[in-house]
Amino acid sequence: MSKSPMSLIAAGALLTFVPLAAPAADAPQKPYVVLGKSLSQLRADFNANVGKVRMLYIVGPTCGICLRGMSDLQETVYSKKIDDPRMVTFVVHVPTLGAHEANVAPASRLITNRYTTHYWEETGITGRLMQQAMGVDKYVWDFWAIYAPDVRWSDERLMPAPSFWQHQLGGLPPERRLDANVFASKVDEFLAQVSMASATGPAAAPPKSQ
Amino acid sequence: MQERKKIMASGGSAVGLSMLASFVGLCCIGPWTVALLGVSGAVSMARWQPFRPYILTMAGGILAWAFWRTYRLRRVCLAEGCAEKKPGKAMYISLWLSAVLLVLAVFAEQLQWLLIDPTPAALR
Repeated sequence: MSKSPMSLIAAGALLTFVPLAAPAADAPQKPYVVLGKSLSQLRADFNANVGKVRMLYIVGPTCGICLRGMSDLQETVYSKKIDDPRMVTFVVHVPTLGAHEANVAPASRLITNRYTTHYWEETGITGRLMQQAMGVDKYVWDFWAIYAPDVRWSDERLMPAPSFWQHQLGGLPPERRLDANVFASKVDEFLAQVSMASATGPAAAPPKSQ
Repeated sequence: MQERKKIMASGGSAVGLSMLASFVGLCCIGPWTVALLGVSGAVSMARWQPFRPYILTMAGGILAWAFWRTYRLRRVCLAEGCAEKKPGKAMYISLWLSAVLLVLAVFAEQLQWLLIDPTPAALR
């Protein structure tokens, strides 16, 4: 059966342009998720892991003190529980101190395990929502929170108040300054509420753009 | 001359320590630490933060010593005539500049938040 010239041209065009339209399979994947202003992806990931201990960190990827905080927690919390499915971590990078998306990938290497997801949130609204949830009068970042297993993020405009939190900011209580050892022991306290068997199900979302 | 050298050395040490303390205190102004030192460098620098008060105290002590030596030398020169060369204007200026730098270093953390608003631009 002979093919018409038109169908050959169409097939040729298809073969030429389809590879351009399809995402390249070998393109390097970003090690973080890009969040939209609605934070719907973060909220979905948070709620998908109800029943587990969730940590939410709001950090600036160019802030040395934030980076030190991540490094300290990697040492005291994650290096000891690297494969504990009962705890899930969300690290939200916000554009404080002139940070850009390009700063996120190197900073995200400070906490790495299969239950941690890094996010880049371009507007910084995460810190504003946390500020409202905490009822404080300054923008909240360099902030380290733990959520008990039963906490759910129901209202999309209101972030749930953390079950435990620490910070590295001026103007918030000094007794709440980040102490990686205290933080780690609090994580252990919350983990005691969750059995290993119950901690199956979705972990953090694989990196993708929202 | 020996005395002058000692004073200059202590003044220089005080300046160096003040600069180190300022550097540590100003680690969070803008993205410059990460740009210059990388993530691990910024983390290392931030680890010096708890030692800032000690660095500043040491710088203050050395500078106080340098002041005492300089002004004592001046008094000795005025009272007894001077075997050694009198401290020059440059020495006084550098000492007072060191003192200003030290005061700035002490308040570096507070000053940085006056200069920089950490709130993301979209929310200001």
